[in-house]
Amino acid sequence: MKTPPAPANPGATILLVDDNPHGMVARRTVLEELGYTVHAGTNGQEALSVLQHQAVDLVITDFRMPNMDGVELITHIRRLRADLPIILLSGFVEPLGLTEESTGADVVLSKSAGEMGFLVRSVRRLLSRQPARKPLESEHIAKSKKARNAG
Amino acid sequence: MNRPSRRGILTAAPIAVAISLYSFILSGALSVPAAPAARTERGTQKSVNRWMKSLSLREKVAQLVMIPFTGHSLSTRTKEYRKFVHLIRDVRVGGLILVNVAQGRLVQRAEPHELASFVNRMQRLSRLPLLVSGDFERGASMRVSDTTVFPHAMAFAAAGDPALTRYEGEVTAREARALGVQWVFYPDADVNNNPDNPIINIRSFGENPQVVSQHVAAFIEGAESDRRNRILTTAKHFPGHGDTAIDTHLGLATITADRKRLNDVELIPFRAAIAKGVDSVMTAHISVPAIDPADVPATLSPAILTKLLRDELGFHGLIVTDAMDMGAIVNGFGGAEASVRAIEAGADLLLMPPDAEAAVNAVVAAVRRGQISQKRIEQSLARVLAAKIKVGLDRGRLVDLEAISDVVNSPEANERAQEVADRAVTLVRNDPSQIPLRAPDKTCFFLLAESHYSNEGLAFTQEVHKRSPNALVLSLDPSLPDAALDVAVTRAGFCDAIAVGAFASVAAARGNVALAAGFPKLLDTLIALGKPVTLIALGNPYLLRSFPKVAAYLATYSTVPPSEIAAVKALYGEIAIRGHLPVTIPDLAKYGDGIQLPATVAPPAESKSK
Repeated sequence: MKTPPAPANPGATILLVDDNPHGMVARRTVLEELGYTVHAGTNGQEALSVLQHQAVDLVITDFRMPNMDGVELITHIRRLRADLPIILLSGFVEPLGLTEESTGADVVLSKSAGEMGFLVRSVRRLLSRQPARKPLESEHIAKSKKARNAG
Repeated sequence: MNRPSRRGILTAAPIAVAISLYSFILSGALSVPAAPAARTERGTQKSVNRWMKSLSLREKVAQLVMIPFTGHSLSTRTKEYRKFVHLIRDVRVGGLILVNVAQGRLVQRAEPHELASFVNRMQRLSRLPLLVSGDFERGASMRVSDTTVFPHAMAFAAAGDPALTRYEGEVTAREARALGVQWVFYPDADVNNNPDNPIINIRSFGENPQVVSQHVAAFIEGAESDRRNRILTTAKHFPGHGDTAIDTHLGLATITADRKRLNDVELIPFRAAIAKGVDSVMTAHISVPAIDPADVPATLSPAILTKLLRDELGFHGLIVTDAMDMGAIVNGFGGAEASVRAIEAGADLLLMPPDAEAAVNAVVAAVRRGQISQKRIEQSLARVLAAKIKVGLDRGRLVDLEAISDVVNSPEANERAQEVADRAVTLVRNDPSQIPLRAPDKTCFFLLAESHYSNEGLAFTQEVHKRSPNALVLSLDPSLPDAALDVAVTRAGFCDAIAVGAFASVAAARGNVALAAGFPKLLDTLIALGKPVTLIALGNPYLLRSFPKVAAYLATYSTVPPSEIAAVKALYGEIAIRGHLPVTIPDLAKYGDGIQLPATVAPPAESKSK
């Protein structure tokens, strides 16, 4: 028998932020199977703590979390690492009008049919490209408040 | 997930929505990039011998056991995950069968990437590669989300073109291999000659043994057509599960037909499958006194499995039991003892014994006390190991997660699946011409879903509203109080005509394929209003028997969204109606009936692009 496949991106480390244990286990399992190292955070504070102590190549965060939502987390992350690729996940992408421009994420994905396939592709694409231009920080905060009020 | 949905959040109460058989394939595995050369018999034998020599008696027996999994991710810290580790790494079971989890009538399917991740993990844990199986009766979509959604088997028969069934075989093989599954328990070779059959019904290609045979052979041919994506196919449920009114998930059923009738009806599709080279045959938990007077289920009958299937029909492939946790086995024979008897009877593989380790221990004990010979175990083991080699598992057992989205749920395959659903639509009654609908905007549409949590009716509603934005479409489900149904009747009073889409699928352990309580009375009340009622059977085609006074009757033979879309297209005259009944509806319609109507209008602009 041949050995397991080589990791898609050897050495890449992903920070996964989600307060839902089921979502966390599912995405973590798939990402680890793809060969990534995954650090987990169950809220924004934990995520920021990981970022300050670990080398991370990409962040995947849920939108709706207690205390600090995904957009607020992105705003904080941009202060630390403006070029860090970030994927934002939400079950309310359309109702809240969440877009890359309004959230500061590189990719916004809806939690709906085909989500995992889009996530896998987005991770690979973001890890193999140059950083994209980010919106202004003030714009993130304004949009974040708007989205939270709407939600 | 925090998405609001009709589905709700499920707890993982594993249910055995099980099952049926086996055959072989050569990889879509990452580590098998090129089409492997055909194995020589000698080469296979050498590999089988090498593997066999490395196994103890207990490990040999364990290779004959398939355990269930749901495809959902498990934390490695959970007891459930540790159990998998134990059964695969320590006990060394031979394979896995994918089942769904469900709550009530809502089935939660596996996500493709999660499924493949789990399978890869289990494959790494296992010393010998695992055979991974699944029912996949209407393609992978029966068990896995985001895959091509084909309608049920009976829709293929109504469409009347085995080339479509062959195509389904090709797509099923391709998608299965992309997901890490090498063995599908399909095609269903049962002849559904009993209108009261509660568990086969639309899973069968109908009541005509020759037609069933054609579709069974076509599926096998398609599934085995691409060497790189070859799967093991399974003809089920031997010697035929069509002529019974009992669900064997609940209790033991008996086929009372004599041997001549069995030869002339039930056994014909199995003979066709064997002639076509089917890889496996799944047993039925049904007693057939004409073959074995002992009144034991075929699964435990040497007369049926060895004498009839092996010796008389000349089947040399894998014999796999239906799920050993089903009522017909567990209630009458107990889990471990039944496993011993199934092996004695001639089965090669035990599917989902209630306690896998107990089943292994019981069979090992039977060998040690001389009840089963070691040679008998090794015969089955050799077939199992050869099957693993046939699908290339000795060359690579892992799948590439990044390739999954390129393979599954392709637009082309979904387009062909829609074509099947369209061509299946059968107009059984149209008196006087209700279809195409004369005034769709003044028609009330009632959709009778099987569960509050299901998505049944969503596609139908969307399609109607595309065409008639102001039409009344009411989605009803069994959880609604009688008062809500009364309101529906009141609303119907303002419509010129009534169209009722009734979902009636086959589900394990339900015991019937009837409409939920409350709905028959509703339908009778609607009919009594005196307005023309069109009944659309989304699933069980025999529903007409319960509502013989409807003005028009349309059958789709399936509950899947493509069948909902097909029904709407037919109601609006956008597709030619050309399906034929693959079954007889007693006293009401003959086998082969189907009023043929041409398309009369063009579909709405958006639908054209589909």
